[in-house]
Amino acid sequence: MHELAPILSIEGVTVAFRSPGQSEDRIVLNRLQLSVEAGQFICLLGPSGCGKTTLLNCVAGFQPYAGNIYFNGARIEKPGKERGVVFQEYALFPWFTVEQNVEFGLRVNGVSAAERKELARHYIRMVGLTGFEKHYPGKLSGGMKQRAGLARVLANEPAMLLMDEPFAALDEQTREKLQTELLGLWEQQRKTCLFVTHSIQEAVYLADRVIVLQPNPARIALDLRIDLPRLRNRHDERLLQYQARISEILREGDAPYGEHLSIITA
Amino acid sequence: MENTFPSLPHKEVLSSPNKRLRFSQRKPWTRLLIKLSGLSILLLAWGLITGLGYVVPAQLPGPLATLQTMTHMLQDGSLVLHAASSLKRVFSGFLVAFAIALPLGLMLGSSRLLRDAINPVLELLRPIPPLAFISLAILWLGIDEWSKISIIIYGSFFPLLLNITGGISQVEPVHIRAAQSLGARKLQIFCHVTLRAAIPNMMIGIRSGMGMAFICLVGSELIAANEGLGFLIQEGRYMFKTDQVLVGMITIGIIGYFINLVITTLEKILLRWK
Repeated sequence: MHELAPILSIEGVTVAFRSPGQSEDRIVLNRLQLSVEAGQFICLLGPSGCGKTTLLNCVAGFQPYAGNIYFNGARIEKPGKERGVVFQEYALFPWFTVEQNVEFGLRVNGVSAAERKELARHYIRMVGLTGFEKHYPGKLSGGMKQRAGLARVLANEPAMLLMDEPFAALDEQTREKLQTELLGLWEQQRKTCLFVTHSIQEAVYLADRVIVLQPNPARIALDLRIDLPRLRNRHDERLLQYQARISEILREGDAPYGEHLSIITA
Repeated sequence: MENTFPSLPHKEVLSSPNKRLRFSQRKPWTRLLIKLSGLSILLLAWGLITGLGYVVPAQLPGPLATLQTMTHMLQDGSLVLHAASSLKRVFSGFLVAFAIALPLGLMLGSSRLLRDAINPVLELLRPIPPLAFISLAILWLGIDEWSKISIIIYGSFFPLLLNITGGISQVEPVHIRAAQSLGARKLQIFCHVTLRAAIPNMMIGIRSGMGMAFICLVGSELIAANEGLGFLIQEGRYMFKTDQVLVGMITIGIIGYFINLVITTLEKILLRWK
């Protein structure tokens, strides 16, 4: 299989935090290596405290780190519009309507009002929010808020999508629906995706490649390719086998942490 | 055989299981009536107490006598004159306070270091009632307009500053991050995110700053004033014209009511999204 030049190259990244009242740093990421090809859908999976969100924040440019992360050959130093972020808490601007939220990235990047309107309309339709353009986020359900969050990022046409447990706050039905729709959008756009989750099911349903992170000591415990065509059947025998394999790794790794995971056994 | 089934509830009960209506669901004239009822009871009680002779008019004149004095003062134009000079003081004081508090609040709100440095000063000054500054105001500024206005500036400054600072510093970090990763620059983030997020708190500051301005008004007009609503109240006391005292007080109440109405309307427009 021939390797493409990676779009994202994480080389020896270390991040340590010191909690108040403690004398020693806690190493969250330890000389982590990871290389991501363009167009891949990657899920970062692991229990709380494994550093998956920290890694995403490094790539987003929110978190200072030691080591190097190259995005299209340039070291990541700060946030940038080529790396769009979808947040678990949606992070929509409550004082803007759905439309104004979706237009925000275009507006601050100097896109003309007419073009903005057109693009916003397109992406709002794409996520199924047509008719809600003039609504304020406070009036929307969680699922609709995240659709708006997704449209806001897509309208900015980033080269890569960074998603930090975007569906974790949603109810199960909405979550599954949005997972499927996200894959639909991804098939159309083929953007590189870095998707953080603590749900094994979600990871194997979405990803080309699942990276399992473990704390104490911080490490990549598993780098697993999911070679199944999409859309996948959630009850597919092979999918369940992948799930079983991941949960086994997580159980071996650290029993007390493993319990926080939503482990489903077939 | 007798019908043993319980009778069905009446249709109206079925259609409105909860009989209590929200205020906004009532008819407009009903709403007006409800709103006026409290006021009428107050007026009625006032009329009864004075009309039955429990108090002498020099202590508390009746509502009709007060209304008479008020109409008289409106007709000869004196009330408008007094109200205008008071309003001029309140608004100049409030606007100067706002003009100082806004840039300072924006700076303090954006810098933790600055906040930590200036907070002790603010916390020491804040508990001193504005009226305690009257002596200094006279010594420094004399007894003309500016010594009165300075008291109002001082009074409305702190609620404005504290709320603007609070609003700016409480912007959600995740909103800043979202804006950054969408490509917004510092100034754009400040205008579209930080400032917007601070508006609810700013409105609280404006409301309470305006309240303080009126509280300080009456006190500031103790300083050798020749006109103004506070002066009217003062003079009324010296000359035993209790009706004039009441006219001054009621006028302040009415003006305050309308200013509050303006602020509330402004809030409704600016905070549509709430």
